[in-house]
Amino acid sequence: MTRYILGRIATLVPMLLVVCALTFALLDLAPGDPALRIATSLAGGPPDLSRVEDLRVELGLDDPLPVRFGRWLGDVVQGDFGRSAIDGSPVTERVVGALGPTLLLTGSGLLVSVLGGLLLGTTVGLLPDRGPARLVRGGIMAMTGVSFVVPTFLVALGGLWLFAVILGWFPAGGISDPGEPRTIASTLEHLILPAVILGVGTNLGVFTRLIAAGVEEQMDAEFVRNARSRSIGPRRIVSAHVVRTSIIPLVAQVGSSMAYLVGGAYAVEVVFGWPGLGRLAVEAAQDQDVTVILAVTVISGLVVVAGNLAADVLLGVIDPRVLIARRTT
Amino acid sequence: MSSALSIRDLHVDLHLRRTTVEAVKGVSLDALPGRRVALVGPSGSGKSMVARAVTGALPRSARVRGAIEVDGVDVGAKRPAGLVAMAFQEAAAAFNPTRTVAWHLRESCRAAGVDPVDALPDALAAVGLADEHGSAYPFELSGGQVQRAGLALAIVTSPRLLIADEVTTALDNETETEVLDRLGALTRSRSMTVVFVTHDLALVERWADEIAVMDDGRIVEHGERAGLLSAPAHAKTRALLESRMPTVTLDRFRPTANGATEAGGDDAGTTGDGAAVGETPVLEAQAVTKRFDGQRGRRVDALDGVHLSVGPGERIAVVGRSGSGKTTLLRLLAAVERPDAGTVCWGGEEVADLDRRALRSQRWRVQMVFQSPLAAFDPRHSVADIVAGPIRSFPDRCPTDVDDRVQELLGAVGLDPDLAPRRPDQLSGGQRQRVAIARALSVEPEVLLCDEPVSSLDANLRRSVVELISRLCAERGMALVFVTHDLSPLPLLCQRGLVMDHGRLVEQFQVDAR
Amino acid sequence: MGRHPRLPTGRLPVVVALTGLAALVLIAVVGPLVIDADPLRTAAGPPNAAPGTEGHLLGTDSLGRDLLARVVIGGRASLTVGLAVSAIALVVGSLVGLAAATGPSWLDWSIVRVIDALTTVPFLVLVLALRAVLPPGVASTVLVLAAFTWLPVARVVRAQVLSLRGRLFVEAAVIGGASRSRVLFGHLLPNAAPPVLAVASAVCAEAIIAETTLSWLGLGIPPTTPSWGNILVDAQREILIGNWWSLAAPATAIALTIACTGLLATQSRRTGFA
Repeated sequence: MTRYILGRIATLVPMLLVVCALTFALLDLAPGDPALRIATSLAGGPPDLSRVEDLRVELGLDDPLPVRFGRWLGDVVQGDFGRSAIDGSPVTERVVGALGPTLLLTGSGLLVSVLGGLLLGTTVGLLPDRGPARLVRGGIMAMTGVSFVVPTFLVALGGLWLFAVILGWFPAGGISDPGEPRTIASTLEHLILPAVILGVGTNLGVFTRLIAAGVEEQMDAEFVRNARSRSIGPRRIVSAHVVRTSIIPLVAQVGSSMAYLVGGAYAVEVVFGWPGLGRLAVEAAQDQDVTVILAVTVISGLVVVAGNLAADVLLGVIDPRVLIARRTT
Repeated sequence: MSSALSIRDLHVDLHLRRTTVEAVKGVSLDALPGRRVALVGPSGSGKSMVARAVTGALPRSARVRGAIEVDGVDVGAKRPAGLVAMAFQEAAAAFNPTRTVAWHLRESCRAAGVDPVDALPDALAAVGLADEHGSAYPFELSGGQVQRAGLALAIVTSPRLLIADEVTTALDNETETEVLDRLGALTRSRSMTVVFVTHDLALVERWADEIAVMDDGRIVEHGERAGLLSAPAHAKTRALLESRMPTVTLDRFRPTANGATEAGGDDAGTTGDGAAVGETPVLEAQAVTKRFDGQRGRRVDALDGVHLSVGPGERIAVVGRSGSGKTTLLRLLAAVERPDAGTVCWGGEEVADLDRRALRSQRWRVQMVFQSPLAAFDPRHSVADIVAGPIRSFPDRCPTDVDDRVQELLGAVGLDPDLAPRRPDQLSGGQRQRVAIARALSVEPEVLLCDEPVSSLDANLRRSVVELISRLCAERGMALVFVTHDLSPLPLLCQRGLVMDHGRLVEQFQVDAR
Repeated sequence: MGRHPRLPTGRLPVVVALTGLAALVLIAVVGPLVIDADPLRTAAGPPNAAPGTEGHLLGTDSLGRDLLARVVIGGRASLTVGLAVSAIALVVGSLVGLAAATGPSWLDWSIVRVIDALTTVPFLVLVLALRAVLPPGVASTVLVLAAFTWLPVARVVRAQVLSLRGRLFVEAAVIGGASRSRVLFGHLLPNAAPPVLAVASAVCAEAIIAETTLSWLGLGIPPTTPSWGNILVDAQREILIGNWWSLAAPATAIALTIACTGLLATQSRRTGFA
């Protein structure tokens, strides 16, 4: 198991490096001179050209791309994401401050979609495809299909409007009430609506369908027929055989949909004014603040990779075939 | 004595998406305690559905009518645990892939109220598995081991009735004998009744007390083994028996003078009596060696210094167990795989010396028929496209119009030319293999390579396909290398044979003319 | 005898989906020439006029712009984005995937690393990063979206070709003397097509949705060029004052397009040989 985890990490780290290199090279093409902009912002008006030159040297902007990338990477490894290309303020604090809320929202959204998917998917998979049960199946499928056709931000807007504005069940945004101290209770109160919307708007549909298809297929699988012939009770067949094997593709899917989930979380953050990485990234993009965008990209990649790794480990625990297959490759 | 199994007027209907198939149409069958009843019949005759109905392992689409009693208990409605057990051909599929073998055995014991502490090791020992096989996952076991594990799962609760569906089909001869011996001892010691489904008549002769012959969803004849085999009453039974190929063992063949030829030694032994002196062999392998490092879960099927020489029109069988390297040898001969050492020659020319283009221009010389024809056809191509494939690559080898040639070839392999526009998945197994043969013939090759071409076919089809290959080789003066694990086709096919084991040619023999 | 490859034609759902898409494209191309209303002119009618108001079949938005004219011409930008992005993704993805599957192993290794790396970062973040480099507009939106939607196509093409290449029928074709290009284009690509086309159809829907999201963030197509996305974003404010129709019109257009591409995707996946 340890070898398997180390093996996974060994493939994920170079992936992150590639992300860093590609984004760094891409953002290098961004128009505008950071030195000029920072100097303008510091001087509060048109700056001295000599001041701009000094800044340029100070920031090492004249060095070739690989040198700048190496220096930046060295700083990042030590936890320094550099200074904003707009006002020269340190980026690390902003990014780290936004990471916590993002993880909280993403984790809760994932939980909603996994639990919901398991519950709804198993229901659909076990119901017969005829008679009145068919209507229930169809209803669940149609409901979960929302996330396929409606952009996450629209689901978020609709949810905000209906549950916060019209019904007033939940606060209309933010992570805490303005002026009040942040408590666990108030954070939870603010978390519920965006988390549910994130879960429904991103992966609930996929997970429900995945589990439903798995359960339906497994119920007619040879080993389930065999279990039936061995007089294993129907409840045990579902819990010990069918659901357990159906979860495997779900876990695999969680790993591969991490990027999608985090992206959805960013959209929800913007709608709900949730102080996370997504809001930070959009503000940065509107300001063309490349340093912040770069930092958010790297941190996002890190979050996704960590999620991938967690899913892989979980997969190894519930499906012994994974460990064996990986061992031989 | 009351019946251990009593089936009354059993019907099984399969409700498929568009149609309903009557798989079993009113079967009644009784088996006395301790008897071994063989259920035989062509594929699609409904014998497996009867077996599944008794064990309750039917697909979801099946609806059952009729009464099934085991030891006087009606198992149709509620199934008392541990009374009936099943063991099927695909034993690996009978296990939940995420659980160990022992987990399944314990689960069965708990359901049947049997103490697993003794029953579990007993069951494993009874099928010749060690305790560590029990703690393994099904996919960690070899094919033979999984098959045994499947049997252990069936017998762990000491059922009164064991239903076995083609349990030994996938096993090689040695393993089959061992499993059957153990199963025989076991069922006798626990006075278990066994109903086994099989298409292997040799197994029936050796193992059954009674035989029930099924055809088209009904039992057409049922009786004691000796009586039924010697005086079959029903036409279908006679047809089934006639399709048998003679049972042969290696004793029937006369080993050639110098007996075993050690691989890597002088090649006189293996090449000597093949081609006439002075004639260039059409196909030759000299000291070919191939190793696989077992990566990507691939079976290690290595070759170790094999010599083989095939003269014009000569027909050779290569016999060996699964995993002995036969298929690898064929792949090297067909130049789709390169040997690590040694050379392969086509018509005296070394394949390794040819560049890509030159090799392609020579490919007509050696054509191949595979074990599973469907996998060897592009799923998007029609029969005509498939047969015409090689002709398009070698227009020189086909003097006439392509369409005419396809029609002629289909006729030559005994197929209705109207099948030309069909897709291979719309054909029967026997028809598919004939299409594969027609494709191989289309460029008039010098050598035909056959990789177990009949082992996936029903017994009654095997003989006709073997005869077809034999006739076509004789008519066209085509050489043949026929790889098989089953000796029965040999007398119909070839003059000499080679035995392979662990990647070496260990023996060669002459086949007596019949 | 060239009846293959069996592309997903001749089936009713496919015909419906293709006809639907063709109709949408036709309306977007021809419609603005027929409709006698300027989609950009404010106060063309009373603000927030309900559908059916004289001269405004679908009503007007809060600035009094004719919604029918806006949605019809918005189709030009949105469908261009959807179709162009999926076409680029299909071509680039197929070529890269083929190169990875059939090229030397170092090439395969690097392509897989790059694809893996790019799919680690949320789409939205990557688009934001690219946006920092490119100015807003239809062409740059297409470029931004295409830059990342070829990834799934390449991945599927590579996986398909790799799995097909090891299959027995390919070996049989080689033994039958088929050339490299015949194996590649006669056997591998046609058999790989169904799932690839399914992914490409899905990319089309994704691109249209992503355009909406970008417009909402103010990073997509500028309001001077109406698109379903920026019409929808404008409408989002108006729903609070009870003007549901300015949301319904672009939403219906998007839903129709996605339904057609979704149908295509499902059908071409089903016509696979599995």
